[in-house]
Amino acid sequence: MLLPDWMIEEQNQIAVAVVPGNKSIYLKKSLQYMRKTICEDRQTEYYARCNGALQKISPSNKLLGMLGLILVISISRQIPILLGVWLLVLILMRASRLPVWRLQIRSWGVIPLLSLLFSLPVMFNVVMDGAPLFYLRYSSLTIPWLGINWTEGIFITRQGFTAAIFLFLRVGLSLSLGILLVMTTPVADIFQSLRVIRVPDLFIMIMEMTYRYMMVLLSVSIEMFDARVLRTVGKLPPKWQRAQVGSSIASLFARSVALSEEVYQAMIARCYTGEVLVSSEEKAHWPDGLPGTIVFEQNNEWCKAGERK
Amino acid sequence: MTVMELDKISFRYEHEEWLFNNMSLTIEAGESICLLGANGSGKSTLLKLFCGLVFPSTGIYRAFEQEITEDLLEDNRFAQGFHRRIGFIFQNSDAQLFTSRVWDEVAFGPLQMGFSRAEVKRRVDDVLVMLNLQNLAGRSPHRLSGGEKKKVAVASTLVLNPEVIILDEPTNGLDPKTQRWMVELLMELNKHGRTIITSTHNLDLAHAISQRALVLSEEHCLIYDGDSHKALEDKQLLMAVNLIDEYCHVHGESQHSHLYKHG
Repeated sequence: MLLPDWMIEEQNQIAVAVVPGNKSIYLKKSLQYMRKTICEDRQTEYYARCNGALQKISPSNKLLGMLGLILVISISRQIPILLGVWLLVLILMRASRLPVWRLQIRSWGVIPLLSLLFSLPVMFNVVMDGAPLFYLRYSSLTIPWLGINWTEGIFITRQGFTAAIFLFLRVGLSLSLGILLVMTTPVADIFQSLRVIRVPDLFIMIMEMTYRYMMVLLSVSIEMFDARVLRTVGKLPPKWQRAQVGSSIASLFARSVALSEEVYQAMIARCYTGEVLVSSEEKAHWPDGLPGTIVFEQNNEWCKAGERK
Repeated sequence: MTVMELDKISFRYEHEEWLFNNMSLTIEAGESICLLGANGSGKSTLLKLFCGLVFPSTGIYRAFEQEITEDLLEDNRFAQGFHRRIGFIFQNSDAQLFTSRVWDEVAFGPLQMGFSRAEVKRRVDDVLVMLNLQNLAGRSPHRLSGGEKKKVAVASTLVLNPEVIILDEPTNGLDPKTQRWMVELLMELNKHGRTIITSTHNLDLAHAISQRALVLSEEHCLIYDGDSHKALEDKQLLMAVNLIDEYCHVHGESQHSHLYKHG
């Protein structure tokens, strides 16, 4: 095999046009996010296999219990009940050997805060009328502005404030319960347990396959981006970055199409004829409904007691 | 008993070149056959044709004395029976393992066959124990090593107890211990009457497991069909199909040439 002349001559005198700046941030960030996802997936599986309190409960019972609790917090009209559920979540996290503090930051840190932010306007009398709780601007004059008659100034209403707090707590608690379920149950078992709430088998299978191949394609993407990083010198102009992202998406799409074709053939080779038949291990039995029923009934009692007061 | 017969078949994917050029051959029950050829010679396509995943563009393919056509495999009952008798182990294990738990993966085939729950459980548990995979039953396939994935793929095929087992490059990417395990398994299965068809460019594997070799040229034609050991000793043949190569190097003052094997 003959090497071209330039390959022999330029050995020690290669002039590389280094573009000033660090390696492209988008490459680094993309890789970071992808690796983080894989790490989180592994970590979740690790905690799900720990010897904690919730890990010992059957996945279908856990799912029903969590759904029951989410129903409770959705219909509950008392903040002490919501706080009680929060306390229960904290105790269960601790008993299940989960990193409580880290999970609390994860549950309450972003989505509930955003929902609180979005519900801010509801607190004001301008959007929802109600009893004044806190005045921001007081005025006895009626000033028409933006089609609204500003009669009593601007204040936060008691009803609006309560609604926003309820929304914040409900979103945060639902998220915490979801995280609690995912962190204490292997993903495959969660999918299987969906059968107890009569989710169609085909739908479960599609979700399982989506999850499975998301991880496969994620690993492929990491390899692709690693290869890019190794061949990238300095900072890439934005135009090139966009081109790289575009070609990566196209390449991943082409690979996923080829893979899906092969997966389908593998299914056919194992007697698949278009109708999915699955093991009936996780079909609903009457005791499975018990946790949800208990939680729901208990909440009804609390609500009635609250109304009597 | 003839299990498979190709009668003057040719094949081509849409708008691509023709493969196999009127190929004819028969495969008898209990044979162990290796399909040899360089990359791109059409090995995987021929295996998929045996398994009824693709169909000849011209010529006739018969399996178990029945002509196999696309229309016939549209009949679900026939398709299930056919695929139960011919097991296919894909080169890419990720394509074959599509559920989120090893146990479900192995149970997929028997469930599609409509076996009873007890029968499915018995078969799956037995196969997992046979291949020493019982500790992986609850694990997700994407968290397994390459060797473990291959074992699960084998288990998911063996659970249907097929008469013919087709393997596409079974030792690719496996460590020597798992390769040895694979060889022993295939020999054991063949000893118990299973017909084994393996595509490979790993000549050591071909030597260990097969009595008959089918050699495909880089022009996608069958250029040898006969005793595998004779084929593996025929250096001209192996060089012609790019399975071995000759290269020169120097030891001290003497220069000599070696044959270089792929795989």
